[in-house]
Order: sequence, then C-alpha cells, then structure tokens
Amino acid sequence: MCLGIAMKVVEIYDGGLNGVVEAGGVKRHCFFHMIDNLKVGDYVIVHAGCAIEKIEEKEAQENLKLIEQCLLGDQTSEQDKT
Amino acid sequence: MSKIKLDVYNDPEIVRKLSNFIKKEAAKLEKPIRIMHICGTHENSIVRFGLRDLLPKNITVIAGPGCPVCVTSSRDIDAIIELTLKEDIKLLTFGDMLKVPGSRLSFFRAKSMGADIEMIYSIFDGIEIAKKSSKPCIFFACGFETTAAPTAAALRDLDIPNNFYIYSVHKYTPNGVYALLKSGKISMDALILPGHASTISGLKTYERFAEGFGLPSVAAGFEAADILLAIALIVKQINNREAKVENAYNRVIEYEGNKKAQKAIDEVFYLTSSIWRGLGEIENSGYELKDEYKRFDAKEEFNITYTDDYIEHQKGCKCNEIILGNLTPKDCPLFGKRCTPYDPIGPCMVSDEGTCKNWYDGGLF
Ligand code: SF4
Ligand code: SF4
Repeated sequence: MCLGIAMKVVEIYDGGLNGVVEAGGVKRHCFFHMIDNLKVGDYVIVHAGCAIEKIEEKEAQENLKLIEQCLLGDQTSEQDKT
Repeated sequence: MSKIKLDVYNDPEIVRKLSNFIKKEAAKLEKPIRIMHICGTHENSIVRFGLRDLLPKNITVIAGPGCPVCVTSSRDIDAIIELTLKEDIKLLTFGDMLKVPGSRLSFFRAKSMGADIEMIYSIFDGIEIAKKSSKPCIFFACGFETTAAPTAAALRDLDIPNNFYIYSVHKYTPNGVYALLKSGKISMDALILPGHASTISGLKTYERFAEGFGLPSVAAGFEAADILLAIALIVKQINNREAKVENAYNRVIEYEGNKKAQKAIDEVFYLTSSIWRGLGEIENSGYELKDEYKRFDAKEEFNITYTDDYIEHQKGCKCNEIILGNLTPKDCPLFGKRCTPYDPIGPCMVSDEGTCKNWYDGGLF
C-alpha cells in the first residue's frame, strides 16, 4: 500500500493536476496536486496514485557526494594509519 | 531527458565500500548499538538486500512501528466490517488491508460472507468507483502522512460524488513514535528516519528526537547504499558524541518537507488521539476530518458502534512486541508454522511492510 516508487513523468494535463507516469514499461495515471512546476521527463516518488515529491537532480548529486565523502574520509583515515 | 542515475545506489562496489566503512567506524564504538527504523519499506529493503549480514556484530538494526497496516486497531476493522455486513454499502480498501485479521473476521472473510468489499489502488480509483455506484461507498483510509496527504488533497480538490465517504484511520508517525519513546516502551541508540513519510512532514519535526532523547536521527532512502549511508552517518555521530538530524536522502527529502502536502493535510484534518494496534491510545497521533469536511465522515454518517471486547492480537501472537523492536519474528512460536502470509494470525504477517511478512518472504526462518 504505502510503497513509494520512483517513476518518470511522461504526460501532464489538466493544467498540471493530473498526468501519466511510467516505470519499468508500466504506465499509470497519477495526480500532481502536491508538486509545483513539474515537467515531462522529471522523476517523482509516487505513493498510492499521487506524486508526493520530485526527485531533484541537484540534490541527487549531493546525495552521491555524501556517499563519496564518507568513503573518501575512509581512504584518508587509511592513509593516516600507514 | 533527466540524467538522474538511480542505479548507483545499488552499485555493489559502493555497497561494499560503505559496509567496510561501517565496520571500521563500528570498531571504535564503546558498546553495541541498536538502531531502529520506523518504516516498513526500510525493513523490506533490509531483508531484500540482506543488509543485516553486511553489518558488524555490534550494530543491530531493529524494525519499529513502521507499518500503518500493522498498527490499525481491530476496533476499527471490526466496526467497519460489522457495518458493511449489516448495511447496503460498498467498502473500498487498499489490498494489504484485506487479509488483516480483526477480532473475528478479516475484510477478506467478510467478503466471502457477502459483504461488498472492493480493493483499490488509490483514493482516486475509489472516487471513480463511487461515481458509478448507486450505494454509499466508504474508503477505509489507512496509512501514515504519505497516504493522508493524497486523501486530503483529493477531498479538497476533486469533484466528490455525494455517496463517497471515508473512515479515517490515518496516523501521524512522528507523534506516535515520540509518545512511545517518552513512555519508555521503546528504546534504541539511534533512529533511521522514514524516507517517504519524511518527504511530507520534513525532518524538522525529528529535532525533538535528536535533542530530547540524544538520538542520532538520519533519514534514508530505500536502496542498499541509502540505508548503509544512513547507518554510516549514525555510527560517525555516536563516535563523535553527537545527536543530530541528518539527511541521507537529499535527492528526495527537503528539510522543511512538502509544504503543499502539509497544507492539504492541515486544511482537511486535525490531530487527535488514536488507537494503535497493540500499543493503545496515543494522543495527537490520528487524523480526523475537520468540520468543513465532516460530510465525508463515515463515522458521522453511519451508526458506527464500538465494543470494548475487541482483540488486537490472538493468543501467542507477538506482533505488539515485534512492532516495538523488542522481539523478532523468530521469537514467535507461530512464525512460519501456524502463521504464514496465506493464513496470517497477526497483522505483521499481512502487509508487504509488515516485519513478519518480510522475514517470511525473505526466508529468514
Ligand atoms: S507509509 Fe511511508 S514511511 Fe511508512 S511504512 Fe509506508 S513507505 Fe514507509
Ligand atoms: S508470526 Fe504471526 S503470530 Fe507471530 S508475531 Fe508475527 S504475525 Fe503474530
């Protein structure tokens, strides 16, 4: 029921209120009441037929950076030891 | 076309590196730690990716009250089944509620006894069904803030037919978990914050967990690397003697949450006390319709009666201890024997977010 799935926006209509999203070749109707300025091609988290958040490209990079930082910190501490 | 690469979060190389990092950091821990997540979907990912096997012995990850299906009280299930059997109405429900046992019956059993119960994927489907039906249609509105928000937005923004009602058992996770912490019913050394529920509420509300209880609290997504990253940040905080809220899921969660969703919820619902299955009544943890939206309230429209003799858990079922993280499914003598997803005895064996169901599906006997 409450599994959120990342899906791509493939169609938007009704002035941005509704549209179609797609993941793994499956298309389904989705409501966009809670997201502003959505564009075709954006990724959203879909929850019970409703997009609850947009996946932001900028933040996705930061997310990766956070992982890298963790791992780089890891390497430096290793070097410290040697 | 978007360039967002979502698969890196499952890259085996990154997963291996993160797990090595955690092992190294964990070696500095002064005592073993227990990290609780409060999201059923996290348990699903943890079992699916076998993440517990990647963690050192001194880190235990436990599942908390993270599944809305598991915490829906038998009292509410019984009352709505009774109504559906008695009156000429149609009940609309999410699929994972169907097999959840009430005191005597599940929706599924009631359906076989003639109750008109239909499974829906979203409230939007439910509204369409009501438009075509001549009967009153009641949507059993179950779920945390992630589902409460779509319910609220639909009631506020859509054309709703006169025969459509909701029976709200929506719950607000942060207040529920906060109350449990305060009561001492649950304890842990750190929290993994729910990925999707937090997109709605934001992370600010969890500052009271970090500050009030000294709990490092880190929000995580649902891929292997997401969860390991959160654990890595938690162990780092503990070693640095810190307790703060951090976001390991920036690509989705904003610190302030989704303002539009919060507004929809605030306009339609207010928070009041609510019964959590096996945990009892918790103040300010349940969403009820505000006066302006009372006309959708099945609790007002129909003569719903409650009895005190409802049974939350059958004899032997340990769900109430499992959702508090005090026991694991393996501690339940019925697990995988008398209790399976095909014939569940407790609610935790039903939904895909239930801990027992996840452990059963993952073959963790
Ligand atoms: S409602 Fe959201 S946070 Fe809660 S279990 Fe489901 S996916 Fe996780
Ligand atoms: S295995 Fe079944 S009976 Fe045991 S705790 Fe889980 S749901 Fe309850």
